[in-house]
Amino acid sequence: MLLLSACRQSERSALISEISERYSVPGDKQLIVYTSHKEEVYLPIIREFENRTGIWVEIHAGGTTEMFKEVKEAAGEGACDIMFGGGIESVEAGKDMFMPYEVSGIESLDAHYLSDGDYWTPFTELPLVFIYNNKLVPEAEAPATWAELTEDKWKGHIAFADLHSSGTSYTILSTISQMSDKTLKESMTDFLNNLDGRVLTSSGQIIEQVSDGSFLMGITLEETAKKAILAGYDITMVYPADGTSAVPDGVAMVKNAPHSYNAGLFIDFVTDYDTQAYAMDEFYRRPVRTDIILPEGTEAIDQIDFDIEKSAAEEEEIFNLWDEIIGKED
Amino acid sequence: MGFIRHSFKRRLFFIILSVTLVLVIFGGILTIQGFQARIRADHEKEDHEQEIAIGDKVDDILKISESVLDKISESDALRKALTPGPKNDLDTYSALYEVTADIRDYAVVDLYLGGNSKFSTRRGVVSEDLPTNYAVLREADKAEGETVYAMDPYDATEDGATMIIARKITGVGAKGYAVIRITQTELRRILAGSFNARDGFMLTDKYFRPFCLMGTAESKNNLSVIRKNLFKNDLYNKDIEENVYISEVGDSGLISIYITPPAFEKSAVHAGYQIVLMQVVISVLLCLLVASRLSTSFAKPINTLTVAMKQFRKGDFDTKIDLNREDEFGQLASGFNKMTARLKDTMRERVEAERKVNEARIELMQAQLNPHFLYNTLDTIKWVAKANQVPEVATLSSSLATILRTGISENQFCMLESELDLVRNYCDIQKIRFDDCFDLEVDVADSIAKAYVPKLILQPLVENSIIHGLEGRSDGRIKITADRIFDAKENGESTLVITVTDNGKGISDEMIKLIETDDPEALKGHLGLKNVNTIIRLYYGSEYGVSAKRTDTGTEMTVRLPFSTETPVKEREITP
Repeated sequence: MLLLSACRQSERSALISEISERYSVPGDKQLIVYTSHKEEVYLPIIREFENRTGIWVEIHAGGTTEMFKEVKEAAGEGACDIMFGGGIESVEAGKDMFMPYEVSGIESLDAHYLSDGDYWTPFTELPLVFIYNNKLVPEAEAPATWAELTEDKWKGHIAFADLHSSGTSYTILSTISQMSDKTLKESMTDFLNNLDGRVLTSSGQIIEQVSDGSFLMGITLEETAKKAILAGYDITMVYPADGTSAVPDGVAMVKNAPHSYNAGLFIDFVTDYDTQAYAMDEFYRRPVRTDIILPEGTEAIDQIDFDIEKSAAEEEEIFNLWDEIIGKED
Repeated sequence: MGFIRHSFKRRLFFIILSVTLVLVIFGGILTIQGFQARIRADHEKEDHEQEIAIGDKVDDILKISESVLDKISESDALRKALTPGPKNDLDTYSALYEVTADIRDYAVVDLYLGGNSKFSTRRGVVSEDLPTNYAVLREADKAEGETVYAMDPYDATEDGATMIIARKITGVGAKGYAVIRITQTELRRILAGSFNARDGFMLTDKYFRPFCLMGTAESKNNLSVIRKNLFKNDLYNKDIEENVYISEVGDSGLISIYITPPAFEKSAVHAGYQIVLMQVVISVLLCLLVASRLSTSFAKPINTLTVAMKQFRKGDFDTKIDLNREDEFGQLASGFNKMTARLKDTMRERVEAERKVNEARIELMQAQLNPHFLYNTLDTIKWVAKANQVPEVATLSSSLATILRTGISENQFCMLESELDLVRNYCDIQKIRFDDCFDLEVDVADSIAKAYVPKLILQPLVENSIIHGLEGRSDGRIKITADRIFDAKENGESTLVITVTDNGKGISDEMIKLIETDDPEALKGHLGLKNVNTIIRLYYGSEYGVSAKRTDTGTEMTVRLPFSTETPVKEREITP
């Protein structure tokens, strides 16, 4: 009886090994991606990448700050190939984690946002926009310029996410700083004080809190605002009249990437025509490719000349000011 | 090890414990393992049936979908609907409803022209547009008429997705696609009845990305572990407690994963091992008890025996053991008792013998008193006779005294010349007694006369000649000669031959025979002669001794013995 059981046991083991072997992923078919994108963004792209290339992707997803931290650790162990997501100023700030890769078809990309040393590649451009609650803010009163954000009328009414958990918040602060004539400290102090200490834990809450009236207005990404409006939120999106930044999020190959060839394929893939078109059509993100025609209703924006390196260089100071004025959480 | 070896009890304990522990531990583990293997095998059999059942269900859905797609591809009305040009919606819909009758219960079927749904079985809102250069329609386009199974790009998360089964309708002039959508909810509804509440089920694509996660698989932990294992090229079920059954669904490229809880809760196995552990503890205690009992049972009789032996050694020959047992120890005790009894008897006999020897010694010492007195008396008589001028009496007493002195002397050997002196003294006495009727002639060379012989060996021969040979004769003559004859072997040894001849009536044949037979009983009445023979043979061996023969003139008696000028050592003195 025991023997019989043992026999069956070994049959089962054999089956397990056979299937394990059939589906085991060889090293040259692997890719490890850390992403700060939302699932609805990264999953269709990565799935399409898998289907087209036959490369299996191991996904680690989370918030921007969290992912950068994890990538840093993983880079040391050679356990990560790609960082997908995160504003390029953040990527630039942490560029010692990455290694240069020149994407194929680089000539088709918007030269405005290209890394100096090819440490990263822009994925999609994300203009910053204002949103306001239609019920509480009359159209005439709607926020129009960055400059007016420090006015008393908006004091405590701007929905803004904690800098420590939101990459967008950093881009916003950087943009404010670069648009202002004042020093970094002054511009930051003015704006942060106008938040009146009201800070949201994540940028995902901005739409909710503006549409439910907790805040009158908010600053968010064009794609987020468009999606919310399509989903039926009673808010209005405004492009700042004094121009705005459209800092792209990036994709970068991580140092010590164990599957660097596949990582290159991935960067090529996310910037190729199909994916860029798909991101534009489905996620309302602006393509970094110049050969894609923007759909009707998507106006060209008045982009400021955003200095990524400066933004990256100011990172520490901005965080310090934030902690000083808003107070560090935890 | 010394600690164990030095105590019988510990040794016993160790041996019993080893045997018991081997039995308990190996037996216990074998039982648990065997039991586990058996239960697991049974479980797996059931699981496998369940897995097949749910796999069949999925397969059914795919087959029906396939046949629906076949029908759409073959339906003229539907092909026409996808062909540019005027079309009749009524015909299209009636055909569409007809061919999708089997599947509409759980699926929505659309006809896409490019990325737009043109005809749909959906109730209410129209189906979403699909990208044409991304995801499912791109795949269908590449597959050229083959069915593709994909995820709905608009309804796909890491927890599941709407399944799209699509096929490009070829040969219609435009990019037309037949698309079947089965939502997760519908999939769950269909499959819900096919698996146990405690089990889990996943349907995934070939990259192990899920269409639906059901039951215990909903947490998707196991799916990530499986994927991780495949990445590391490990067995897919490594680090997963549950049983995972992976199989391919037909040739669709889809994978069904069935998950069942482990046949054994860890706690059950633990409990099993705990019982074994308890058995081990009990075994140790039992072994201690048994070893202690057994060793006492062995040690007690051995102790008794040891004490008895010590007592016996100290001289208590009455020592007895009473074990009151019938086993080997009982036999040993009775053997010991018999042995002591036997030894006691032997000791008593020896003491008795010793006592007798002592008595004999005392008697001997007492007996020695008389000859000395007699000798002294004879000496006195000699001097009295001399003083009174009676020479015969003086000679008699003097000769007798000499014979007596030789007789009582403690030396057992003497020189031949002393022996000859004794014979002369004896003859002096006998001459007086028998009226001087014989003469003694001694012819022995001085060198030979120095040889040592046992004392009193010649006197009996001479006595024999006087008393038996010369009886009644007045001219009797006795001659004693002695010769040394060297051995032929030239080893330096030589034989002393002493001859006593007389001119008497001659010895009888009967007598010669008696001497030769060496039968002590036969020489009764010839005590002296017998003694001589016996003494010589005792001292020197049976090849020596006395022989007799009748001559023409009388009798010749010969004594043969080894020639020696030293006192031979008696054998009895060598080994006392």
